Amino acid sequence: MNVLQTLIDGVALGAVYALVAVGLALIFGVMRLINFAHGELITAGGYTLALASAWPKAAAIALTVVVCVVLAWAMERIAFRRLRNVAPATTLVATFAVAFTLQAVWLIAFGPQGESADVLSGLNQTAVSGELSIRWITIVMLITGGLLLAGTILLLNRTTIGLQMRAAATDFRAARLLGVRADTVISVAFVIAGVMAAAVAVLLTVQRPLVTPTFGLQVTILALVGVVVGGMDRLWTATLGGFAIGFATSVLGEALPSDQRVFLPSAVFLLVIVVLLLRPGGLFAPRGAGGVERV
Amino acid sequence: MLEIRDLEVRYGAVPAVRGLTIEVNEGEIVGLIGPNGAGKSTTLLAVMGAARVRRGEIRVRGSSIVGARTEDIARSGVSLVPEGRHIFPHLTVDENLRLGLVGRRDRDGVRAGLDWVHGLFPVVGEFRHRPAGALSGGQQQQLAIARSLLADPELLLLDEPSLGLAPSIVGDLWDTLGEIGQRGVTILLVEQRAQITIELAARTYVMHNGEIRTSLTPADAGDTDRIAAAYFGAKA
Repeated sequence: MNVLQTLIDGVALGAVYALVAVGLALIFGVMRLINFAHGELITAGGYTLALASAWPKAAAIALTVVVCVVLAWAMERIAFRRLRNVAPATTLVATFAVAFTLQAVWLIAFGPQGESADVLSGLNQTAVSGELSIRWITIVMLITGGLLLAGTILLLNRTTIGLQMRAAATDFRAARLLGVRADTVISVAFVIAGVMAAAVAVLLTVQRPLVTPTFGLQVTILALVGVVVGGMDRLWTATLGGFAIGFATSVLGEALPSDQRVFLPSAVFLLVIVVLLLRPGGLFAPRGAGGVERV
Repeated sequence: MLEIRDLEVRYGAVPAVRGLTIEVNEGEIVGLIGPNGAGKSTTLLAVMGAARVRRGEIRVRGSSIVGARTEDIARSGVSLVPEGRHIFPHLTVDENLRLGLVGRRDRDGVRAGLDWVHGLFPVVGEFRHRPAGALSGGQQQQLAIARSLLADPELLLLDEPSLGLAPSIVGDLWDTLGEIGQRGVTILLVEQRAQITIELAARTYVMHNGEIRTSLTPADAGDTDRIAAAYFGAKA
């Protein structure tokens, strides 16, 4: 096994999971809501690409971003806004309800067989060959992940709305007492989550062009596990957790013999259990951390 | 400036504020004192739209604000320095101050506002790049007040600003509140430190068990028996 090859592939997949983690962690930060329905945004993006596969590539990607952002915004506006002040368990159940409702919609609209979203399959071609074999999609994953993560950091640290989001994530009531508009901050978090979901949909369909009703579910569950492992209380620990789970999945997938790759999820979750036993507060959470800034 | 009439606030079945009526005129410093659980903080939260009003009326400059959103009230010239300060510990002092500008109605006077709060509280300029959580309790209180002042409020609500502070620091803080009042900011000061509040305020309401029991003036500041009786529930 070429170690460098494995590392590069791991970092690329880690970047994709980190994007999912950012979407989950931003919404958890400002709403204390674990948005289980985030995966449906990714699935919606996948189906949009499938439906727009005959379009020019840029137009298909732009439409995917629009659909994911509008769906994310609509989720918040229609389903979650009214539940803002109820118990966390209620909102969690609401996210399950939204997720399963949308999965039923995908099933009715597109059937169980799946739709092919063959828009950017050219990115599977080899960009670097020789001892290292790097596909274009690996490079695109690294660049896209890096740019979107850097953009999110800039937004949070260099803009007024970013400052308001960071404040709201620390103490929402205190932020509102200063005039921070709850609706605006939460809507922006959902819009960013929608952009992240669109990017993940585009990147994933290059490797797995068959979009089924559960297309976004698995990556979301794994990223959610990564967010918990990394530490939900801060955006950067959650993002690193998402990255780590993607990286570990890729590396373990390479390390396992091909006839035993069916055990990959078991191996990943075994690793998760070990990490949580050793660092229950999160793999990347500072030791003895008290009150924290969540975004 | 602020009129509260027959206010009732409940937490579930438990009444926290019962039939409260007070008035704060423009440019006044008015005190609201009483023991723990009297309903003082709840009254301020009701003014800010953060506690639901069951009955009664709250008017600022003659307009009702009952049912308005907290953030809209904060953007209308009413600012609360909450109990416990509620600064954002992981943001820098400067970032905390910038959040104070969110509620500001007029962008023109920002520079002058910053100069004013830096003059009142030099510590917020000195430690501007430090995480706010690294400040001492007294410094955090100064930051919380400075942050509220940057919203350029007409009405400043202060919830137990002396809580947890050493007496010497409280003395300085009271001098500063006097300066802020002289600048024309109307202040409603909720406190447990009765005597110094009565001395500072034009009028101090004494609250007990959700109700106003009496009101005192600076002339009553030396009458400790009357203050103690009022504080512990005697009606005037």
